[in-house]
Amino acid sequence: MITQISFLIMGVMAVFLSALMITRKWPVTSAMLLIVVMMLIAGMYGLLGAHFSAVAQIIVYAGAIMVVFVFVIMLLNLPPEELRYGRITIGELLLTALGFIVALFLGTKVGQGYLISNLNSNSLINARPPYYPASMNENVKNVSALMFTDYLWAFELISFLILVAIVGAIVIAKKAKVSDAKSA
Amino acid sequence: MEQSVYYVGMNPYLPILLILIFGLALGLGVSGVSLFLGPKKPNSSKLEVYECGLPVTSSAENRFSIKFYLTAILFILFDIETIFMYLWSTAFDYLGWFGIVEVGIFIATLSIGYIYVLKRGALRWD
Amino acid sequence: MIEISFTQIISTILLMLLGIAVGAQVAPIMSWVERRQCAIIQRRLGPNRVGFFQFRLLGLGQPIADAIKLLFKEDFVPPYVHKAFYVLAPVVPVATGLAVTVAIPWGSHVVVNNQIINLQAVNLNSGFLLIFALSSLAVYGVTLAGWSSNNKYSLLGGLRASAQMVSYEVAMGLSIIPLVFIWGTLDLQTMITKQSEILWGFLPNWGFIHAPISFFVFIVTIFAETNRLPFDLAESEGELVAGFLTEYGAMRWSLFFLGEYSMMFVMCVLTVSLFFGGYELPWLSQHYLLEILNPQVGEVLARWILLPLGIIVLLTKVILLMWIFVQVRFTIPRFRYDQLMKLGWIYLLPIALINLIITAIVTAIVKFH
Repeated sequence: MITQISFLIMGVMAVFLSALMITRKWPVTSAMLLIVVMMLIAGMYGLLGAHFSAVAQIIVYAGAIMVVFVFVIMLLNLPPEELRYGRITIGELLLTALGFIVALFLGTKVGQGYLISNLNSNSLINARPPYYPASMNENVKNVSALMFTDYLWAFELISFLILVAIVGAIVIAKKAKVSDAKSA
Repeated sequence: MEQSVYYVGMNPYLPILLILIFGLALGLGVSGVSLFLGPKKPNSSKLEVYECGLPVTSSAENRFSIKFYLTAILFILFDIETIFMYLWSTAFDYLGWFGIVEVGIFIATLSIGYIYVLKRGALRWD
Repeated sequence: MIEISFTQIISTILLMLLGIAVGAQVAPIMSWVERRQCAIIQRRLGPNRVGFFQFRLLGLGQPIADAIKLLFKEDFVPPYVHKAFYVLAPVVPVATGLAVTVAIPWGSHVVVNNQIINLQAVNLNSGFLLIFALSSLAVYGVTLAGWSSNNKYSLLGGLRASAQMVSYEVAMGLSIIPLVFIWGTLDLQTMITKQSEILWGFLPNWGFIHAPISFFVFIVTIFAETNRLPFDLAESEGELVAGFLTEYGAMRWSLFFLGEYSMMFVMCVLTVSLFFGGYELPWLSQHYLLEILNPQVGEVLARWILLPLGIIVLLTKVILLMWIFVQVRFTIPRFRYDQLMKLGWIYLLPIALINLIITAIVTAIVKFH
């Protein structure tokens, strides 16, 4: 009961803050709102019993990826957005309507799923027993055992993806020598 | 398991949320108290931007080094590696030598990336 | 069946309040300790006069006098700053510094109302990762403070300080992982219980003995995470040219340090819990003491006796470690920025990684054969 109320509150706040985020004048305000949304999502993961995902969300998303966003916004010194007084085009109207339809569809499907399945933290996959003895406190070990046995291929591919990202970041940054004017 | 009772307290995430809100209130409150209790004497030199007491020279020519961006991107990538390390280390007993070999491949691939970063000099003078 | 127990809820709230109280009181006490220790190292006296009612009390009234002075200083918000973030930026270190005190393991457990109450306000499955998560959020305080001041030197100072904090978080995380292999869990209470045993007949089973390299790397990264000397370029820039603290006046400035000291306290508690046995006395573990006390006073009362003992042992170890922090502050000169980043990326990261691999192989050999 309390879980459902908390989930509802967090969900509504996350959606509201996201809508707020895309309509702000200053880019830094949008970045900070996104950080709060990330923390709310981590809280929702925690309520679902995915404790490792919650902590990983804060460490990686809110603590690393958003740092890059904030650094880039501050380095580029983006000016605040000006309010645009103009007509709303047909394309924008169609896209907004499409967005509402997709949101409605997802909402009803996810709502059906939540009512039907049994979301507790005792087992990750309903069709097979967990690797460690099922208790309320073995989520991280179960995720770990699963990742390195069943999803090993994805894990090793991630290492290559990270390597590509490292090389790509350096190539892009080193090529931008034009803007490497004032060093710290 | 019919008769035994399992006692639960509050959801463990709730104290974190409560203290974050409390910290927010404390910070804002303490700053606000100082705003009320202190004197208010504005004068023109207080209201200018501080640049060692000299008049403000240039305002908008802000070209900063790209190394900050590079440091932050490399931090994300190594942080993701650290997350996987945390994950592996909890199930160390279950995964045994097989797990060590798997994670060894992961660390080796990332070390190639790290050595590339060092050779390209992306982390120098920063 | 699952039943909500008010005993657990009230004890969680009490432990939360204990954490907040200790976290908020660290800053004034540490400021006095720093000034006295600085003075003693520099062969002078330091603040030793401000007391109460004509008792000098070694100058312990000094932090209170400082707080009152700071409250009454003029706190103006400069007109050229971005007001919302200027006000919010000091709050981020305070909020995360206080929130991180929930994971402190004050003791083993007590029995109240036939229920076992774990003496840790929040015992998540992810253990001490909570502390890392909240400390990675503390970067935003510095970044926002630098940006909102609308002063390009502040912005640079803030970006440099946050780049420093961010660089050392990688080595911090990687250096702790060998301990997770050794103790086999992410949970702090289990780690401390395992450290109460005796190793090789005469040594306490501390993490420091199993993984000394991890300890040294971790200590260095804690210095960098909390912006303490020799890594305190961010604050020193406030003395020299400008830094992210330039446009911050009285109480807002001290809020940054409240958060910094609280985070330093929790990091020291984490170090002590991981490497030095936490709230356990080295050879007289709580289990042993319980066996001595149990026939005499019964288990419940024995656990209530062991509770203050655990807290005193923990605080003693943490105070010793924080005193070492203070000593280092007044002994070692400050690092230059490029030396700092070189240490974080080029020295500590490979050392932590190689330490991880070697410890993994050694632990596997020991455990699986």
